[in-house]
Amino acid sequence: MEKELEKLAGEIAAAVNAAKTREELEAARVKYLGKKGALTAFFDKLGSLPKEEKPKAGALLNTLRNKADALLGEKAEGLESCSESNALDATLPGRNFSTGRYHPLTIISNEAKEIFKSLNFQIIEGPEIESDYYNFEALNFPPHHPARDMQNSFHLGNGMLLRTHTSPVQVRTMEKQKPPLRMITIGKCYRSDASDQTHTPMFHQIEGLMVDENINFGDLKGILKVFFSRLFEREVNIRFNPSYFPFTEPSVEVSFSCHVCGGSGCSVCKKTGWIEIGGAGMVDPNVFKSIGYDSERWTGFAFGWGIERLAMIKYGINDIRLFPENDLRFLGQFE
Amino acid sequence: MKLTYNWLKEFVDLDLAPEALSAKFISLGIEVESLTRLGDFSGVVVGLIEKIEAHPNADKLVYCTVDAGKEKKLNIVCGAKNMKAGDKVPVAVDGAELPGGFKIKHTKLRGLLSEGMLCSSKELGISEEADGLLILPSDAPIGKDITEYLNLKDWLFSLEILPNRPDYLGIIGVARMLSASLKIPLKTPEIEIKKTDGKAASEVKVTIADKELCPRYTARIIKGVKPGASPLLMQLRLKFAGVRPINNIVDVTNYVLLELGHPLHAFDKKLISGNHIIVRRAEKGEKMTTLDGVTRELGADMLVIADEQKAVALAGIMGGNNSEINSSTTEVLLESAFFDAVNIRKTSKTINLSTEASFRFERGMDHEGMIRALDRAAYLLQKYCGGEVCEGIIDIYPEKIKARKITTRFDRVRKLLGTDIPDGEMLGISERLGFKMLAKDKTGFTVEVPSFRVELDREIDMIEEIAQVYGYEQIKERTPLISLTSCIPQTSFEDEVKRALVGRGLYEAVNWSFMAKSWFDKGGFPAGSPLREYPEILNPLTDEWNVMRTTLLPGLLANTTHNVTRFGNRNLRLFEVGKVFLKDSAGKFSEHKNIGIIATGLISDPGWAESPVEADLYYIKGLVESVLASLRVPYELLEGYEGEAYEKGSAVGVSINGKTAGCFGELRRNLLKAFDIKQRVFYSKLEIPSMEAARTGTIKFTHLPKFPAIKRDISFIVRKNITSAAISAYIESLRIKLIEKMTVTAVYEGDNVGKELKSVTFAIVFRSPDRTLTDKEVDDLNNSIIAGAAEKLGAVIRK
Ligand SMILES: [Zn+2]
Repeated sequence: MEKELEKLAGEIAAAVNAAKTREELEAARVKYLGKKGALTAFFDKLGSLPKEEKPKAGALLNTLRNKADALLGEKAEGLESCSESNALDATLPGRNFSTGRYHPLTIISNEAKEIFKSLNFQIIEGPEIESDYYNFEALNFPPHHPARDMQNSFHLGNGMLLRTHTSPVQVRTMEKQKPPLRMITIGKCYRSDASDQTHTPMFHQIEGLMVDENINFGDLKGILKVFFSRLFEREVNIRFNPSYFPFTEPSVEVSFSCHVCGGSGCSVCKKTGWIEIGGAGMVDPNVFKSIGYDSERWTGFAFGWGIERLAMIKYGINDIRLFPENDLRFLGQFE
Repeated sequence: MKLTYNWLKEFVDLDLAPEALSAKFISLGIEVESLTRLGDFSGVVVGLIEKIEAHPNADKLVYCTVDAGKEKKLNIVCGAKNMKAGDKVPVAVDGAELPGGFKIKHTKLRGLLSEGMLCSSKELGISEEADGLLILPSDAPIGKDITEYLNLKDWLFSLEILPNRPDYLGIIGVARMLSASLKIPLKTPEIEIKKTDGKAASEVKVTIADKELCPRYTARIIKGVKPGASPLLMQLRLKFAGVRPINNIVDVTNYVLLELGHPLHAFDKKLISGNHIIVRRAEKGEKMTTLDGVTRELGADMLVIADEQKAVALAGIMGGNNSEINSSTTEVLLESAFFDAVNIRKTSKTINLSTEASFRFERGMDHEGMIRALDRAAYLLQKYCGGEVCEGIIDIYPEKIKARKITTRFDRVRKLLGTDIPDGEMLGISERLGFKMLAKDKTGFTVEVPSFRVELDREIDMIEEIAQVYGYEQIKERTPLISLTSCIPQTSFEDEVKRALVGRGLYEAVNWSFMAKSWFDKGGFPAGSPLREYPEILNPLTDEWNVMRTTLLPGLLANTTHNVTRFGNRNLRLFEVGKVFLKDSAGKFSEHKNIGIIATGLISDPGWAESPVEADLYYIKGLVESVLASLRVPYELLEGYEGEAYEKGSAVGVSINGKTAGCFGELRRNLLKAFDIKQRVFYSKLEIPSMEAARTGTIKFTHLPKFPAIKRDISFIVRKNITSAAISAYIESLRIKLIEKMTVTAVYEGDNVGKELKSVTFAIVFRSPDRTLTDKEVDDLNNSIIAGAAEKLGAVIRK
């Protein structure tokens, strides 16, 4: 019987090996291990064997059956993956991950905050309902000065208005802190201008201020270069054109060399090589005076521009009115 | 301000092309709004209107026969009114191309063939105003190309002048800066007044009754003027600048205003009674009719120019129609005055009238340059209006305005600008800009500020002047040395809130801070609602935005209407972090940072493999609780919370530090209906300051357990009104120390448990911190829970 079993083991191994499909493998299993299979038949014979042979034969049969099972199992695993009838449709889309989105204005604000934090600037917040003093007077906009026409304000009564820029936060910060100081603030501003593709009566500004001994006009250029280069992940140059803001002098209009073409001219920069972004300047001594800083000892610079404008430049958004609309098809693009 | 390239060249010898000049303007801080090539059209010639007939099919059109120098007379249909037969006008003939690419062809207009078009100045790009056909002088040669005839080879600059540069409001000011910056000479306009017999001083007397508001008043008398049309070039230039030509006398004053920046006014001298000009404040309630035909009631703070009987002009703003130049004017009183800027601005704001004159006066005028403007205008009246200028200027100047002096330190300039600009360069620039050098030494220099630079009086002003001419491109960038600060907060609580919500699959919205007062009525909020304590905007742009928002709900609801109703995007999970604004009974404003969350439709993006789950109370509850937990904000939920925006019985309050600081629930159906939303919407509000104040310190690590846990599920079959909280309270009341955690894992209602009943399954985890539990003791504990359940909860335990 031992020999017969050895032969059977060989047959089983060959049959399993030869099987090319799960069906052939199943046929092989039935042929040897099925109810009427060849190996089963040996088990049936076991009862008729003499008592003393039974344990040894039983052990042999069990070993053989375990081996056969293992062979079949192994083979089945191999066949499973290439059997067409049972294949998964891997072209079906994967399961959805319902991820959230930051508003693009938050994304840009966060990037700006990260850069300025790395430059050791504090991040400060201020009120959106402001007094005339903080919004204008302390910033060297005297009452009845035509410069006030540059920023049409919404009035709430009791001498209060919606801040037209984030600059009041400069004054509030300087009132509380002694120089040297470095701060930025980001927040909503309001101007009573009608909406169009580049204006909305509510918008966001980032404002920065640095005061120290020996701060000069070149430092302003340097800090702005670092900021815009990091934000657009490309080394840019800064261009200053003269401008006017009552709270800085000299005042400048800031442009950076186009982050897309590098300054050679493209559609993004309207072939000029430069992108205009906002205002800046050296803090006007009158502002220091209203705070009580000694303008002989301390000098500083301030800068500010629209977060919307920055986002429009960075993402190529063509209409500022998309920001407050909160259309999911818009928000969904800023992952 | 608008000026043309050729006009500017009369003041400074430019050899820059218009485009290069445009770049130069920008580098000098003069914003160029637009640069337009004039005469950018073809096929327009001088034509004579020979005959005008009515159009048989249209009341508003006429049918003209025009000689345009062609073989055949042209028949042209026209809608203008201001021409008569015999007038010469520009004619766009067949094939002409007008500015903007508009092509002229033979066209049938209401049944008649029109062989061209008669043109207005607007159609030729000369003015922005449509004011009828451009009537040409009678000696204009028929058939001549109009661009040649009008000498339109020119460019129009539209410049934006910042409030600190009133000197740029005259062409001469712009020319002066170009001259300093390009080192080319400035040319002053021609003034050659002929000697006549008359003496101004004997013609008119001037009295200044308020020298605060009028520090200087000058005048000239011009006799024998002949009113008529001004020269074509003058008319064209006025039109380019946006000023409507009126007659030669008024046009001269406007022309000089544009050239030299100083406003002038011409009175018909014979209409000044008593030949006496009195500059005084108006009487309270005094009335006068200005040149625009409006009768205005004046206040005692307003300055008028008056004669002995009446006010004849609103000083610095507009003349009166009682002394207006008219066709029978023969003698002119020409005024060039200097008024207090703030007063002019206040009056202009009060009566809501801004003119070319008031715009300049409120920015500050040149108290010396006004004389040259007076002389230049007198000269042009002599040249173009046949006027004879009486000798002498009436100049009432009670107190001479002192020239301002500025001392500038060389080192300070270099220190502030961060450049090594040499001393000599600073001196050179100052002189080129017209500053008179009073003194200089090794450390610095002192200058007298020219009268046309009204805003300069400090060293910093000189530093800016020097820097602008020196060139901002010369400023070398440097990165400042920054000393590190040891303690700066790295993240704000608001940032963490946003991160928690975005991390849970929500989109962030940013909405208007404004809302409509009427929103509360539309949404069915009660009259006394605290949400109605809004700050009102006194000068709103629209009624949609007439108050500040007191809640984030209007914005988020509008976003829901936009996305769900308008764009069919029915699954929406949005949040906003922003301020709401309140006004208390004392009129004090306050602002509060809130979180608003809105959810409707599916709670995750749909797909073939996901089973769709609709947002419900448990979604918003789970969201709020998990956000609060992740931010380490301890809170309690308040059952039976009543919120004005919520369905009755659906809302839950959130109490933080014993104060209600938030809520969540299902929004009222009638509120949603008012905003066209037809599906269930869930909303939550949370107050950031309360959350931030209550949050506990940093994350505290708990050591991992050393011994295994044993878990048991118990399904309580209870009446439907028994809450899961009641079941957990019952289990807690048994004070079984070995219970580590229990959670509800299933709730079942249906046939298997009976109509009035439900099954609530709790998974209970038992664990001991110091040993391995045996099945037996856990079974005993489990049985003790089951044992009391019937009595305490009326529960049956499902096996
Ligand atoms: Zn580019």
